[in-house]
Amino acid sequence: MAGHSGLGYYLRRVLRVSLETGTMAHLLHRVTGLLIVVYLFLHIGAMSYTYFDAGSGFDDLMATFASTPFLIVDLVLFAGVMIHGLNGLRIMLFDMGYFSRRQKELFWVMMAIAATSVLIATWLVGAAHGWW
Amino acid sequence: MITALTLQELDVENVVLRGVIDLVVFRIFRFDPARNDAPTFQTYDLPDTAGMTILDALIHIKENMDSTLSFRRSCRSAICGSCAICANGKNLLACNTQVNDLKKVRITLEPLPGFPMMRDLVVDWEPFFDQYRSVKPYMVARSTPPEKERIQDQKTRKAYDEAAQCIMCSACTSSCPVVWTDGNYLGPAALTKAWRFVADDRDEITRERLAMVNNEEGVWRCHTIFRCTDSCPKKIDTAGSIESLRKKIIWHQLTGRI
Amino acid sequence: MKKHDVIIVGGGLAGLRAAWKVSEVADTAVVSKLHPLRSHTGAAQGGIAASLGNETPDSWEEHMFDTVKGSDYLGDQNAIETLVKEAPKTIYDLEHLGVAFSRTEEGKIAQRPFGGHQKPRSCYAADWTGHTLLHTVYEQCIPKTIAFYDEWFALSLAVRDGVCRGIVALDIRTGEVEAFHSKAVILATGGYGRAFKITSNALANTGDGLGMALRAGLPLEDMEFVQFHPTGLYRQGILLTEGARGEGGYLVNGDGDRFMRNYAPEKMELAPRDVISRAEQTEIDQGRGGEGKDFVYLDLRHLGEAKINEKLPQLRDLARSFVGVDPVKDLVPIQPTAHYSMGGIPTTVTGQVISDEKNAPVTGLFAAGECACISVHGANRLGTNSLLDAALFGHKAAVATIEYLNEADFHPFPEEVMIEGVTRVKWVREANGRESAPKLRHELQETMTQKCGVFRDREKLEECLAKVKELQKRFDDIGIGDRSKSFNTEVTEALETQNMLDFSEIIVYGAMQREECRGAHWRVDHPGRDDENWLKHTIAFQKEDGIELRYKDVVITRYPPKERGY
Repeated sequence: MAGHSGLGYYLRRVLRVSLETGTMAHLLHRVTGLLIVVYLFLHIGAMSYTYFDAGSGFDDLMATFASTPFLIVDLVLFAGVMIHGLNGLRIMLFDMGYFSRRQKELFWVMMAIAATSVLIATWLVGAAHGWW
Repeated sequence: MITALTLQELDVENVVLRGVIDLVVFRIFRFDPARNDAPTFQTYDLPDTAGMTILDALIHIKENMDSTLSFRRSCRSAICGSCAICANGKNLLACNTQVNDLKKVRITLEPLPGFPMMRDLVVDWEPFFDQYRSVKPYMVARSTPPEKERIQDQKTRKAYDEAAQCIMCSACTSSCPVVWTDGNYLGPAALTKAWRFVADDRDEITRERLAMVNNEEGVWRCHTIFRCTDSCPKKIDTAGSIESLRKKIIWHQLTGRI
Repeated sequence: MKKHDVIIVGGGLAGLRAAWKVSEVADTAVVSKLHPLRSHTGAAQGGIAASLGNETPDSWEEHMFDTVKGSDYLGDQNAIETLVKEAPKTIYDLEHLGVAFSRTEEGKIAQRPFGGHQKPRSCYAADWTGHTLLHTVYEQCIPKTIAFYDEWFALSLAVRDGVCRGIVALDIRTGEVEAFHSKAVILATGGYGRAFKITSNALANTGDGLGMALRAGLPLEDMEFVQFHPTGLYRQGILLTEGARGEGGYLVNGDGDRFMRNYAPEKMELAPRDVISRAEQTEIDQGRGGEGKDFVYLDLRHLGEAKINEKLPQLRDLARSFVGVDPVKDLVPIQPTAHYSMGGIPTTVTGQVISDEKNAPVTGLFAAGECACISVHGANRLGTNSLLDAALFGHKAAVATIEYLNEADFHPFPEEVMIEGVTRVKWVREANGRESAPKLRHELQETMTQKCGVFRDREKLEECLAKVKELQKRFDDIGIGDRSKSFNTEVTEALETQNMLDFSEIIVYGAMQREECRGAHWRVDHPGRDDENWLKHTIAFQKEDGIELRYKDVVITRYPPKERGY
């Protein structure tokens, strides 16, 4: 029966089903992965811009990046990297045969570590830029 | 009376229906290939569902409200695997799920996702059993057996205890997002079956079995989403079985046995 | 028309064991209304018997004596001797095929005590023994060349001039009726617990093979003996394994007393099933049920969580999901539940179906498993002997079939059986009457449980018979709402109801005539066993003008009848 498999079906399903922990981890992993890839392209774009426009351009750009909105975006990126990396670590543990019975708890442990590190990072960045 | 409702019941659906009128609305997927119509959802209201399983509700609907409703069922004690369906987006056995445990006033019942539909809640299991048959789901012991039983220690017996309890209801395979997109993936049920024989020391083709699943449509296709484990009505850690296979494969490769 | 050397009807343990063996030499097909893995063998929990002596020394003679005594001396002792002598070999064969038996500390097959057996001889896999047997044997059929017709509903046997030429079956998926031409047919269609309201049996256990035999003019044997299992989950009837008592569980009444000390002081909870079911029913009838209602309790609390999880995991799960009690800390409400049919299609020890009390064979027709009556279980089956029966006699029927195939050929297929099948399905699918088939089924189940249950008397049985006849008449006026040809379960359910109405009459009639108490058949108005008049098998024929009963002697070789106390 048409429409009963394939990517469209997958998306309709995944978005409709109850978000159990494992499914949530799976989706977060994909979203954060995309986020990091997008950032990578922006990063390369920005860097090549300074390559072609040597002179004051680089310093101006760096100054823009140090402004508050960009710092917030940086923190979001950091959160994405932490979530992606730690969940990756979680999956690697499963692959080595550990904790598969404890996958839900392990997910929340990893997310707690991610949240703590993002909080610390926010505090450090804020202190460096005089937010508090 | 609104004042009598507890906080928990202040969920819109519950306030409107559950708290005031005791009623469950079953929204059931209907499809008959003989009629050439597009699938639809049909609703049935059941007033008193206390102590009723989803299968009881289906039988009640079939016997009293609409005899044309088709679904599979047999043992009604969670061992035959006939009545696996998708209720409110979650795969489960209709026979061992209490309606009221779902804590919903609207229960949507659909056939298992990812398989071709046959009629109403009945799916075509052939693709599922094809996957199952492709992993050689039987013990292969070519050496001459002893006169009595083969000796097996309790620890080894325990290693495949869980996997051997699989009832092949297909709730796991049907809940797997990878299966939905990739029809060639073996899926959790077939892989759990593979693990059942790898873990059993009476089986003599462990290396062949590992080679059979050591590819991109085998254990490595799994994304460890754990939907299979979550949906298993026998509480088998199917994802864990796949992980155990991976661990074994890695170990065999490191020690040069594959 | 489909053509195979051998058609096996039913995909449970007996059918699959037969298919596995026959397929070595012949073109074999398995026709089953369920996918074989959905068969009710899978629900057997407690174990499979054999005198392996892995826990304590044991012998086939002791197994035989227990079985004969358990059968209340109605079992044919030549058949029982075969059963118990070949039991160990059967278990070893199954183990070699990959069955996941639980193990002793030395790694042998573990064995536990069971009701009516003096020695621990139940080989088990926790409490999912039937499941592992069914799956293992099905798995081993996969590499063989066997044609599986899954979800085909067998309608009738093509028997003409004493020769079986195949079957007619309905493809549930497409609604088409088809003839299956064969040299031999093996019936392995299972039991008929669904004729009762409270039953441990699956919704599919409607005794279709018995209906087929009756329509082909064949008799049924010892149908009045229906076993009631003492530990059915309250109101659901779902089986809680006897292994629970084998592991040391207690039965207590509403007052908290272990009432079995009044009924079977020696064996207590390990008395045979018929004895315990009657004890429970007596407690309930005398007002000592739990909360004054119609149940007593199974008490497992003293076994502890670890033992329950290891040995009885499924039981714990069932109690939790169906009645919401946890056996680790709560009492489990239970009641007697229709569980096993000792009677069935009469066969010889090899599985050859016979057509009268003088053992005249029906050429090319074999039967095994619960649908057959060999008779190894007599008036009451011991726990764990049924899996053994199915596995062993499924295999034996296959051996007999193979032997028969040496000289057999295809006999012409009788067209009228095919036409009859097509007409019957068409009639049901287009039935336009006023009666509802499910309602008739419920009425049958209610009356069978109320009036042909644990305790019987003439008055109740007469009422029951009248009711069954009334229901048979009303069936002619059923109405069907679903006219679709694809997966029409309303039609198959109506066909099942028709089968049940047919053979239920024989159960009740046989019970009415047998004026004694023997095994599972208990006549309140005729206390005591009457060996002088009733040490014989009932052979029942359904004739135009009613039921004709004939009787056949019991084969007694080693153990002459004695009083049966536990």
